[in-house]
Amino acid sequence: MTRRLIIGVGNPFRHDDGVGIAAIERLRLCGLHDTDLVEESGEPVALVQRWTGRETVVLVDAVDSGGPAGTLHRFECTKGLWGDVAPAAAVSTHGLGVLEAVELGRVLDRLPDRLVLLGVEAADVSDGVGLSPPVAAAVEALVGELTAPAPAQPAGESAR
Amino acid sequence: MTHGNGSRRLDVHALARVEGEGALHVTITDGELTAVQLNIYEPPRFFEAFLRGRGYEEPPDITARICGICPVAYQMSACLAIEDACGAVVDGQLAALRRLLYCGEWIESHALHIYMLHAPDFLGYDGAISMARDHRAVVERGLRLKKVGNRLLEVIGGRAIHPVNVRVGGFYRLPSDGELAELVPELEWARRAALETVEWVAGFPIPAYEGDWELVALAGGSEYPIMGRNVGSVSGRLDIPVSEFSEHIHEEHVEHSNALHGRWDGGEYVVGPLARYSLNHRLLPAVARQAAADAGLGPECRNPFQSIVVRAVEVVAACDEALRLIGEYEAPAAPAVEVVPRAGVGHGASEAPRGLLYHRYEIDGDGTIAAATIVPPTSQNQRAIEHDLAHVVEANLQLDDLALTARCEHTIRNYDPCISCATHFLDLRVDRVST
Repeated sequence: MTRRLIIGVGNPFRHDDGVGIAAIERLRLCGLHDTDLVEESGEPVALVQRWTGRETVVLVDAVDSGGPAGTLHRFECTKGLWGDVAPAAAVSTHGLGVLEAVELGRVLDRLPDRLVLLGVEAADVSDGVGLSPPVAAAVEALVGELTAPAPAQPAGESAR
Repeated sequence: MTHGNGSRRLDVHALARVEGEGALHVTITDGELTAVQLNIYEPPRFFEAFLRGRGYEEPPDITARICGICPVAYQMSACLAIEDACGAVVDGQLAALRRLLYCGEWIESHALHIYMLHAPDFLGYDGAISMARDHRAVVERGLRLKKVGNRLLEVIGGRAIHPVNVRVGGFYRLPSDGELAELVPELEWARRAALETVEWVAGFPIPAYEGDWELVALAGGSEYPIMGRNVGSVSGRLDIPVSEFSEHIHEEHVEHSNALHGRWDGGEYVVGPLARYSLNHRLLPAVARQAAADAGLGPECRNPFQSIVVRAVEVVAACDEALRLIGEYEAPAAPAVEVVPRAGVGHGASEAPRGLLYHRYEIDGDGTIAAATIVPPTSQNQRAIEHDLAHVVEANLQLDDLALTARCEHTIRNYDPCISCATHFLDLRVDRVST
């Protein structure tokens, strides 16, 4: 079995947009032996290159669906098919990111067998450092889930 | 995206996180173009304020976060400026290693822009994903080329995103001979792939257009410019040391934009590949110079739609340079020179893939930063982009908004301004007003 890859996406100088990076920093302290941890800015081609050849990939990112800050969304893409809850494509305010990376990966046959997208609802993505309290709390919940010995829960949306 | 498996959907918006967010507002009154306003969000203003009061060794690490695509450019301009303020000189093999690292960024950033952002415009696709369906082998070549750049960044910079091995004075750790030797076969492949890239893009249908702007880039060195001490222009009217940059180039607030627009006291100007090439093509490595000639580039290139060809030529140059630098590498005595803080002002400039990037720092005697100024290439080019857009819109008023938007996006991408706004201009507004 190959090692699991966890990719934290974001920019720590845009407040809650740094949640993916904060999660990786926090996970580095956990001494996970079977997991590789990397940071990415969110540029989709880099994401595709990063997960090419991997079996299981978890992506932690900030999202904006209009829900309460800190809400943890979970989407699972197995063998190129999303689970019963799929993130809508092409609704990004900047047309760029994880969903585009998944589509590019699909076209190029470069999707991992299992891709889990953990999205944390952001409250503040203005310039500046530090996470808002609900997002910081979500990092702890997320780290707990990712370090739990039991297999990850099945696809579905989970509230924080 | 449809899934056909009874899925329900939740709208999730990605968040902007790389340099720039764009909006374009075009007004057409009674069938005539009356206004073109480009608004690109610009993060450096925040970073300038954030850097004040911090230590003199922090800017390379902090400013690397300004752009996810060109962190090395921000790191190098920052290092050069701080070393200038402190009277430190980084030369010899340490400077060569920096150039090698920067070659990696050029390869990566240019490959991304050429293959994934700009080529679809020329070939009539709405983006890289649809282009990849029809041109998979070509896109795979672009991805592998980009990866060679990534590897250089990882080996010298410690990692590809937000390189951690760069410091004021040099590096924390030197690469081993073995690590550098391992890069050679892939770089040799990349040089061949880059030549194929030049041939590929030179065959694109390139619209005829010439900008009459002054072309400004680093100049006056003995190598094709990446880091340098002098700024020049094609007409020769601008020929200054980097330390005089802010005396001649001013940043102005423009009412419709968050960004500051760069203005040269001698007139309108642009930075980027066209300027670098037109000022310095004689300094290109022979293989790149030949590729340029074969692609039909003359000694000067003023057509922004041809920037894709110049970028491809620069990828050839960067691969060739990287191989030369690795071949000549001898490990320096230490990974960094000591940089002792002193009160003063320092200036640094380097050629980010998208154009000249200037940093200026004012440092107190204890190394505390008193003031920081960052002039990114995008702000310097914004005026020229608006000018080109006006030309393109006027020439295509008969098109519907969708087609006109595609033309505008293509025009903006000529300048590789930043990835987020260069990818999709979802916030494009065309007002057609009748009086």
